[in-house]
Amino acid sequence: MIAAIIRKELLAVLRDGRLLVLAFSVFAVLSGFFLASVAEHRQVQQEKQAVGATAKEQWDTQGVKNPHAAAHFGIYVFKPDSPLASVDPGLRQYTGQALWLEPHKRNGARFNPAADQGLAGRFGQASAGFVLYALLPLLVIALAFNAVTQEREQGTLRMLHSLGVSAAKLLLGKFTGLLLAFVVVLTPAMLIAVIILYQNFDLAGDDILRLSALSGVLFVYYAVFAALAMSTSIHFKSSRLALFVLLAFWAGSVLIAPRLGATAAEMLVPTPSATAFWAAIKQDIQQGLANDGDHDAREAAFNVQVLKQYGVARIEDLPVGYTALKRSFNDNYSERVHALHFDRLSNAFERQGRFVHIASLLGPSIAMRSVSMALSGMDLAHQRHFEDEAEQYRDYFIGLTDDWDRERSHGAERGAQGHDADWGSVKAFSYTPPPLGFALYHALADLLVLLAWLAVALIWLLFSANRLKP
Amino acid sequence: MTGLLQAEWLRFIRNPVNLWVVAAFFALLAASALWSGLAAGEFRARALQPQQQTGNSQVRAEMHDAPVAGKGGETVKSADNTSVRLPALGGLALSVRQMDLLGTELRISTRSRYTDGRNSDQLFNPLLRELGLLDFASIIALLLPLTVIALSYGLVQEDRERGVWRLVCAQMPHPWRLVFASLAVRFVMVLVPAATASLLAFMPDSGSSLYAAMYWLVFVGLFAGVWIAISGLFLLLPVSSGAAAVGLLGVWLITTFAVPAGLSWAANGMEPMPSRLAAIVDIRRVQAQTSRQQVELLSAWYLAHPEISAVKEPSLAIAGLPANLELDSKVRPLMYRFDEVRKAHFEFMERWSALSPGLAAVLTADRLAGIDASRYAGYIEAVNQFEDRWRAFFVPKMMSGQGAQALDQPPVLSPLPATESVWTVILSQSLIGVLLLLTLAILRNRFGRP
Repeated sequence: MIAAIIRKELLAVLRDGRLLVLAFSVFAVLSGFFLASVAEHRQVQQEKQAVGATAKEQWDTQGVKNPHAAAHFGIYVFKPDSPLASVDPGLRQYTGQALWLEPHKRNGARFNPAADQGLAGRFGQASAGFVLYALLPLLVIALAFNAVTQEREQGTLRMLHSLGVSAAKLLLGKFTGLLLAFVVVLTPAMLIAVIILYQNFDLAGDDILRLSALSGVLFVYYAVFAALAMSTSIHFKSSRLALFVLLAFWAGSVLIAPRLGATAAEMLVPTPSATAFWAAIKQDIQQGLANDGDHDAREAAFNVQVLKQYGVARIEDLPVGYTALKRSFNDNYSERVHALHFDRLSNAFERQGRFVHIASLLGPSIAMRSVSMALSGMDLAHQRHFEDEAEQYRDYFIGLTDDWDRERSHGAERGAQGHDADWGSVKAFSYTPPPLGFALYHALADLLVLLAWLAVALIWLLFSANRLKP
Repeated sequence: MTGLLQAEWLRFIRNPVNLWVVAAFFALLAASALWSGLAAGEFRARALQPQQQTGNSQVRAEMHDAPVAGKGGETVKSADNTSVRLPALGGLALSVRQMDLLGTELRISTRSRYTDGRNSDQLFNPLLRELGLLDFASIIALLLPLTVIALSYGLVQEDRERGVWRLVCAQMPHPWRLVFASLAVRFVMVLVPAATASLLAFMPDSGSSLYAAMYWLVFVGLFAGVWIAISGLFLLLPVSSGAAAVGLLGVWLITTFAVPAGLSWAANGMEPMPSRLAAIVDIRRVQAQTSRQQVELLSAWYLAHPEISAVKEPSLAIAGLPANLELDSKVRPLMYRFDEVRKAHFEFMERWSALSPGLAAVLTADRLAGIDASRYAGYIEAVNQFEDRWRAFFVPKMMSGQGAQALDQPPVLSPLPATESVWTVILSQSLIGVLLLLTLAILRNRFGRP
């Protein structure tokens, strides 16, 4: 019986004029946005590679100079984005595009694109991801809002009732048929998307896994909307009212909840201003953490220790460059302070991310959005992973220049010099993005929220079956 | 007509769904308004703080390469304490969080602010920005059209579906009057909460101005009017109420999301935004060049200023100062291109804002808040000029190795000109509103078809 209902529902939806219009619209909008996203992604990636290579070349050819002066020239590094970023660019608009690595200071990524292109994206990014998480639920609603009310209005529900069709089977059949119809609508656009991805990028196994996971999660998301739409259609007598309620839910989930959540998170977990953040780092370096003593005291103690270690009475008698030694000592301390403050800031951002989920009570869109960003490698966790790796690289190459400076000078003199061969021996920054497991671990809470929504929606659908009356 | 208005009013308020919609609309707008107003107040309060924080010499834990005390060191210190901030305008509450995206607080120094990653960048959680905050203008641009749609979709179509419209047509010589009365009631019921919430947004912000409030209220009236007219036109369509709702929603989606994206694309096509990444390479090339020429530039500076005798054994700060100035003089034009293009894009979007009422709302809000791209470009230009005067005052003192005298009066930033009243957006919205209403008026007799 249930197979017959599914078949009938699928045919009914496929024969409905709405489907043709909606399917064409979805195909056009999704393909258009996706093509634009892919073109932008390719351009950004190529530019990052080219600029990264040129910046390294500029580093390599600094000529003869003091190694520490060379270190101050610094190196720019860029986060290579996964091909899936062309599906969902995630936080790209608001995270900096380039990270400048220089001595003494850890910087944040600079040049967020939103500062240059703020107006168009004020209501949401024009990306395939936006279509998938914001617009396609509308399609589900448009297909499902009158699934039951129409049967009631046309009198066919009474006929089905008189035939003894179980309400639960009827609903389950309609629900499955609707989802199948939705898949039929979506499949051409998805196939085109996969072909475009294959043509434009070298997809690694991890990328394919991520894409599959994203497709699965999106299916769950649409199933939530479908189940809720179906239940709403049972509870309201008129199609108009059912549509009204469902559109209100969509607006709440997609437009209102993220903003309310973000605002609540900002209020509940305050973060420092840029001025306060950098000032606090300076203060901790100057005054010292806990009982470390202030900058001058630490340096004096280090002075004594160095003289003792090398068995000399004066700095001038040291066999290595004292300035480089002292600088390394101070930089090590500075790194500790920077790590402390950057970790605090990142943790505050993470806590804000968790507080955003308060608003998930209004709808599943926040969770879907977060999972999508995580699987595309464009969320905060991936950004932090990149910045931490870059910080290790900064430690590596600044350490090298300090070594050269220390070994090529003596005592208090600062005559060490380096050459292009030295600069060229610094390995280029190579970043390997974390695997799928990392993304799933960081998206676990969001996945649970989505599954909870699915469970609630399905349970409500089953309970609604009891209320299904002609 | 008064009788019709009364009847429609009663019909409206006796429908609990309508009241729920208006209540939810007002609750969300009020929450956004209060948050925006308070955030604007906080922003203005913060504007006074940075001078105190960065000016505290206790927290200046110097890196060895930072400007150091010594010969001319006191001058350098007072130099480091100068920062300027883009003054917000009276409509800050409408678009407060956009202030965070651009560097509104800039430190004035002898170093190029474009080569110091910490001078002007703001700290914010990218996730919260991506999800969107409750900036009042954005919220009203998103919710007001949805509320109009919710209150007015399918008014005629539903009566047709129930067979009521046939009776209306039989009993009334001009059924369009009923439709117009119904739309007028909805216009008022959308406008009143929007206007009240707007005033709520302006109230907590001590810097808000009557001009900004009035301008915004006029715009909100036009914005609501445009959407009421669009809804009215959809009532003419011979489709079901559900189809009318989906159609209206489609118009909202297109005008709110697709049109701004298309306009942005077109603006970028006409005047492409330069690449920040490519600018990095250019800046580094200039950096390498000026670094190599440091000694020559130092000598050249003293040659160009014969009245100042060269410091023997200059500190790192003094030795590198002419190179820093040279670097900044070359980097500034590179970076100003971004502000110029942003300005061109903004003005292009203003010219075409009639196509997207939502975009018109945020453009108007940005202007009233004083964060629009045109004003920002002017601000950067003014800061550059001020920095030049500031350097003309301090640099000779630093290069001579003497500190500033107590009686010396450093220059101050000239106040930015108040924002120009740009009427492009409000006029284009008025025009589109009038056109839509005219179309509705011309087609009004079609409401007489049962």
